[in-house]
Amino acid sequence: MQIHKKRIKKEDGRYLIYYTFTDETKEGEEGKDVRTEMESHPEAMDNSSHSSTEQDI
Amino acid sequence: MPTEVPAEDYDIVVFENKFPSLQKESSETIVSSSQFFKHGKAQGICEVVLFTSDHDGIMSEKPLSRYIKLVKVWRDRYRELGTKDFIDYVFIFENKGEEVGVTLHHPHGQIYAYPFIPPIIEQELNSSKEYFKKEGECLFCKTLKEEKEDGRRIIISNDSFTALVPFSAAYTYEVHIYANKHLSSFNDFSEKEEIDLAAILKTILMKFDNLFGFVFPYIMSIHQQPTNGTGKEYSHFHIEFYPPYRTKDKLKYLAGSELGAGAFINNCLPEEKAQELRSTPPEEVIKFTG
Repeated sequence: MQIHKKRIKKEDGRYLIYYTFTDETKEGEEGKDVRTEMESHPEAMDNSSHSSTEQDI
Repeated sequence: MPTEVPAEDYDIVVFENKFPSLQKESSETIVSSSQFFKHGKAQGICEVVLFTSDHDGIMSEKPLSRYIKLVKVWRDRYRELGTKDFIDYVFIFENKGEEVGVTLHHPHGQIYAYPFIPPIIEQELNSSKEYFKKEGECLFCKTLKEEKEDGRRIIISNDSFTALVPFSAAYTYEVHIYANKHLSSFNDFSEKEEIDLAAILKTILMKFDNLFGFVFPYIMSIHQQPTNGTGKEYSHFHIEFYPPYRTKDKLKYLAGSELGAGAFINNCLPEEKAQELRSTPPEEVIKFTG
């Protein structure tokens, strides 16, 4: 399995890296579009290394 | 409310934490040091790793291939962050479950790239360094050898890794996963070792979730060689799990003895808990058939 990455810069200047893999086995339902689902869970990690519901993810 | 991940679909994603404890371009400290009270800049990098795009996914139910991908990503982050000259230690960890303060249920972990070696790891490395100087061998290699000879605290193993409840477990269901041979860090891994680590990780997570019939919370931390170039001989790759449950419905709280005196009270025998985890399915390490 080969690893590939694509780095983008977010609007606020932070980087985000998409990792993809070739020669992978099919993973059933994992490839579904979850953007809408994630947007309904506006959460992010806080700086005490716990997750917080105060901000978006 | 915008999402952190703009793509409609993804496999594994890493991004900088929106509210980082450490920053690449750290400004000068707000309060100046005194002769007695000294501090430095909070320079470093804090990343979030999304293990899957499945927001409500349960990792123990994910296929082995997902774990292999995650191990590959962890390796890549360790290598990339470790090359930065202001980073001394790349700490990969996961806080899982409301019981340890997490409110975001999307499967994820974090990475803190520190400009120093964090204190618990520094203490661990100092002990291992001292043992290496005295005995000429890695303390963790010796510990694993002793554990294998004893056998009572071993949960499962495969060609490359062994999972056990440590002799001096502080938490009832504390589990450590040791590399069988002296791998200092992810940088020493072969492809087979990636797969073997993924397999034992998935097996332990399945055991955890099967133990009481709910998704088992824990704090997971990966200990390996500092990225400042020190400690190759006495750093030994291992993973530590600290689950807060001590029974199906009782949590372990850190109280007077633990926090006030630094002495952990564990009223269970690690040997018994290892047996309990051994007999919890799956009883064999998940096999890679790809």
